[in-house]
Amino acid sequence: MPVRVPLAVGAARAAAHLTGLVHHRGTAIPGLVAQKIWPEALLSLGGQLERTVVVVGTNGKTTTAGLIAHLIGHGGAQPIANRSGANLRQGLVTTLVGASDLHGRIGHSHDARRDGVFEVDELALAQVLPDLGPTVIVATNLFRDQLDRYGEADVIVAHWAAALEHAAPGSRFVYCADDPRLAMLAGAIDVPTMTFGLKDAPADRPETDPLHRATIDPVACRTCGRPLVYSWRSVGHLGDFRCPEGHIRRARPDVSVVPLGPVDRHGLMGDGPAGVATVRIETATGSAVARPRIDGLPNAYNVAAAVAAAAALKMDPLAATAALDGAGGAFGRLERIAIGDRILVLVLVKNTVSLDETARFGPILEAEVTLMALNDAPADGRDVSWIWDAPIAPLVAARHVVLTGTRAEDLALRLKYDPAVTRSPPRSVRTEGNVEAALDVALAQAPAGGTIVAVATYTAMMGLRAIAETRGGVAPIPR
Amino acid sequence: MTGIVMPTRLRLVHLFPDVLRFYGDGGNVDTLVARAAARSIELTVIPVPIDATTIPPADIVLVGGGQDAEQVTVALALERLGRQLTDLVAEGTALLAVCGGYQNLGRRYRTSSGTELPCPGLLPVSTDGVGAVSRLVGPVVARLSAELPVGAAGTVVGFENHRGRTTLDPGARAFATIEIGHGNDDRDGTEGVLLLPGEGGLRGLRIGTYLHGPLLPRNPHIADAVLAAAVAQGAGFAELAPIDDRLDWRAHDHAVERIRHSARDGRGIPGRVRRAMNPVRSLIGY
Repeated sequence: MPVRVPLAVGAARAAAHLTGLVHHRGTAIPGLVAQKIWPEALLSLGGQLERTVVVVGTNGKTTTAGLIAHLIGHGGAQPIANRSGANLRQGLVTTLVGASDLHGRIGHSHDARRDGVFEVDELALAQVLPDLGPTVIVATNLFRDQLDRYGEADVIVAHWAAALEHAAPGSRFVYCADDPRLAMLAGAIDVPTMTFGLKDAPADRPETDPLHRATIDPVACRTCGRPLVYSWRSVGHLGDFRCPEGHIRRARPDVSVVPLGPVDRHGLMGDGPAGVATVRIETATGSAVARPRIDGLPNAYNVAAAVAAAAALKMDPLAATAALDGAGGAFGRLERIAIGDRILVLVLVKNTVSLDETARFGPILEAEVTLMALNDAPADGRDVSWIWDAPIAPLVAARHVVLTGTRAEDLALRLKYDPAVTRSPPRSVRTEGNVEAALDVALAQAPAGGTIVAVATYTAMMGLRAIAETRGGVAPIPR
Repeated sequence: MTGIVMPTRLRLVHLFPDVLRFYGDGGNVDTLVARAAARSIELTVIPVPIDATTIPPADIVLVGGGQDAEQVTVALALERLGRQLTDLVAEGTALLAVCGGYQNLGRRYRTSSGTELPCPGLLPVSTDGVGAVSRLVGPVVARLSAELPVGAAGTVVGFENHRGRTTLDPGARAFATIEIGHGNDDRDGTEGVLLLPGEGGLRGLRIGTYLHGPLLPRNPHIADAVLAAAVAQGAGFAELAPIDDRLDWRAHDHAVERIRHSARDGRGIPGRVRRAMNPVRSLIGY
C-alpha cells in the first residue's frame, strides 16, 4: 500500500519532533514508530544506499564511525550516519527516515546515491545485517562490558559469528588484529578480511603483570583452551598474542599504526577535543602521517580502523590517512566544553578498559577538579562492579573530587578502600546526588580558567552535556 | 569471643586472580585489607596464579568469578590444588567464594555445554548449567542467615549474574534468604551457602555466594565476619573493635532502599501494562 510509506515517514517525523521537545535521547522512538507502520523500512531505505559501512565493537564505535564518515565525506557528499549513537535497529531507521523524502526515497536523482555509515550495538548486528547488506563491517574490539545485559564476551562472539554468516556477497570484515577474540572469530567465518592494529609494542606502557591488573581479560585459545601468551600488550587484552600450543597467533595487520605522541594537549580553548595527536599509518605500499584532533592509544586504534575501512572501500589508505588531519572526535568522548571561563572535559566511561584508559590519560589533562558521575540505568549497565577493576587513583590524586550519580556512594567507597588513593589522596571529596548541583560545586572549586575533568557513564554524560548546552557551552548533539 | 590474642599479621590468598576476577573481586580484597589495617592488623595479599603448584598457608582464601570457559581451566587447577585448599580450611582458614568460585568449589558442577567438571566438594552444593534457558541477572536484597554473627543488620545487598542453578545439599544452610532477586536456583528462595567454623568437620568459616558488586564494600558486616573468623583461627569469631562505617552503611542502606523501591514500583503496575511499556522503557533507559 503506497500510502503506508508517507504515513510512516510522517509519523516518524512527528515523533521526532515530539520526543525532541521532551527528551534529549528520543532518537530511537521515531524509528520504532516508522517500523510499526512500515516493517520493510530498513530494507527499503538501506537498499538505496551506494556503500554501507557498519561499525560494531565495545569501545570506539562512535569515534571510528565518525572518522569513516569524515573520510567518505572528504571526497564528496556527506554519508548518512547515526551520529547521535542510537545504534539499535530502530535508531538506524530513525536516521534513514530523517534522510529520506516523504515517499521513502533517499537522494532525489538516481545518479547520486548516498553512502551510509552506522555504528551498531553489539547484540543488534544480526538484526540489521540482512536488511542493510553492508559493504564493510568493522569490528573495533571486544571487551568485557555490561555483563548484566550481554552476559559474557563469548556470547557476543557467537552472536557476531552467526550474524556474519549472512553477510552480503562481496562484503569485507575489517577487524583489530591485536584482539585475539576477533582473530579467532575471523578464522571461523568465511568472509574476506582486512586488519588493523599497532605496528609494535606501545611505548607508553611497560608489560604489566596480569596477576595485578584486573583490566586484562583472560582469553583462552579456542582450540586447546590454554591461556594465550603475549610478547606485548596494549589496551586491555589487546596485544601481540599467541597460543602456547601454536594454534593461533597475531597476524601482522594490513594497516598498522604508530602513535607518535601528542601535538598539543593544552592549547585548545573553547569547543573542540582535548588534544591533537600525530600518528603514522603504514601499509604494504608505504606510510603516511595524520594529525587528528583526538589523542591517546585507543584513538590511535580508531584511526587505524577508519583507514582500514577506507582501504576495504577501495580508497587509497595513505590518501585517507592524510585526509584525517584535523578530524575530530565524537561528543562526550574527551570533549572540551567552555562553561563561562572554566573548561569542562567530558569523558565517557562505560567499562573497565575505558576507565583504565581514562585513568592513564586523566593526569595529562592537568585539571584542578575531577567530577565522577556513576549512574546505573540500563544504558549505563545496572552492575557497576567494573569500577573496582580499573585503577582510579591517577584521576583523583591532589585534585578536588566531586562524586555524583545514582551510585555516587559506590564511588565514595571505591575511593575509601583503594590503597593507591590512600597513598595519593584527593585534596577534597564531596558527594552530591544531583548531577547539576555536582557540576556547580565542581565549577566553583575550579579556579578562573581552570579545568574540570568529568568522568561519566552514558546517561550521566548525556545529562552533563545537556546542562552544558543550556549554559551555552556547546551545541546540541546532531540527530 | 574472649581469650583470643589479636594477631598483628594475617595472610590472604587471592586464588587465581589471573583467571577469576570479573565483577570487581579486587574490591573485596581491598576492603578486607583496609578493615584489618583499621584494627592494626597487617593483612598481606598473596595472589596465587592458575598454574601454581601449591597454595601457601593463609588465614583467608578468596575466590572470585569468571566466564564459563575459564571455569574449565579453574576446575583443572582445582584437581591439582583442591586437596591443599581443603586442608587449609580444615585447619581454620576462612573461605569466601563468589560466583564462579562458588560453583567451582561445590560437589558437582555441570557447565552449560554439559561438561561435568571435577569439584573438590568444599561447599555442600551442586550446580547445573544445562537446560538453564536464561541467566539470572539483577540486583539482590537478601536476609542473612541468623547464624552469622553480624549484629543487628541482617541484610545483604549485591548483584547476581549467573547461568548455573545451584542446589543446596539436604541439611545445608543458605548464606541468605532472598527478598528481591533470584538466588541459588531461582526457586527455593535461598542464596549462597554458609558453614560456620567447625561445621562439616572443617574448622574454617565457609561462605559461597552469587553476590558481587563487589560484595564486601557495601556489606561491611560480612567483611568483618570473615575477618573475625580469620582472627579466631577456627575457634569461632573474634570480637573486632568498631570502626567508622558510616560511609559503608549509607551505601548499604541507600542500595537496599533503591532496590526495594524499584521492586515495589514493578509490583504496583499490572503485568500487562508493564509488559506493554517495556519497549518504551528500554528505549528511554528507565
